[in-house]
Amino acid sequence: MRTTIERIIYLLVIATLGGMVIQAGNLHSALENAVPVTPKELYAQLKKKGRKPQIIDARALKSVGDDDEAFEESHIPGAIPMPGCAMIKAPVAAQAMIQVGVPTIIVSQQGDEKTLTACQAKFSRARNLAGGMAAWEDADYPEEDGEYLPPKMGGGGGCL
Amino acid sequence: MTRFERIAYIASIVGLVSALLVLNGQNEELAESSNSPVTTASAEVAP
Repeated sequence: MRTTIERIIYLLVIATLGGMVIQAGNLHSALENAVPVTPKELYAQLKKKGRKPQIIDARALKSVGDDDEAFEESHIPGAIPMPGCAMIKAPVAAQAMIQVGVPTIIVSQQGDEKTLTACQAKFSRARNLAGGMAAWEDADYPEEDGEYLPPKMGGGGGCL
Repeated sequence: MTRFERIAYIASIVGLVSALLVLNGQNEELAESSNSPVTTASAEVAP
């Protein structure tokens, strides 16, 4: 009898703690999505070995004459082009590389919230790059130009 | 209840408490970051 009560108490404590951990995990995901990643943080993540975040470049593929730079003029190494976060606008080679459930960094020209909101509807774990491509360039971090070339061996994240 | 079973329960509780503490710490940091203005390279340029 005493053993049964003890067992029930342990299980109740474990269940309560498990529920609290799940709740804290959900809050963690929500907060993480709300906090933009700075160029410095992103550069550090890309330099590290191991799993890297997927980088989605939501700018236009080619410049159409306005002030904003396009993907083919300059982009973060390893970034996948997806103009306006619309799958249909992404190059065919890029479409195959896009994954919706992985940690994703959204790159716009200035890091605007409108683009992020559009992208968060598609990517469950999307974070904004604070200041966008302009901030990345100002910080003098590596850039590439030209059209999108998928990596030879899997992976969709950035590489430096 | 065997000794092994008791140890397993206690280990589970310790693991869950540790995970909770780590997550709470990270959540506090994230909450602070989301309230403070984010410093970017472009924003650091003096006017």
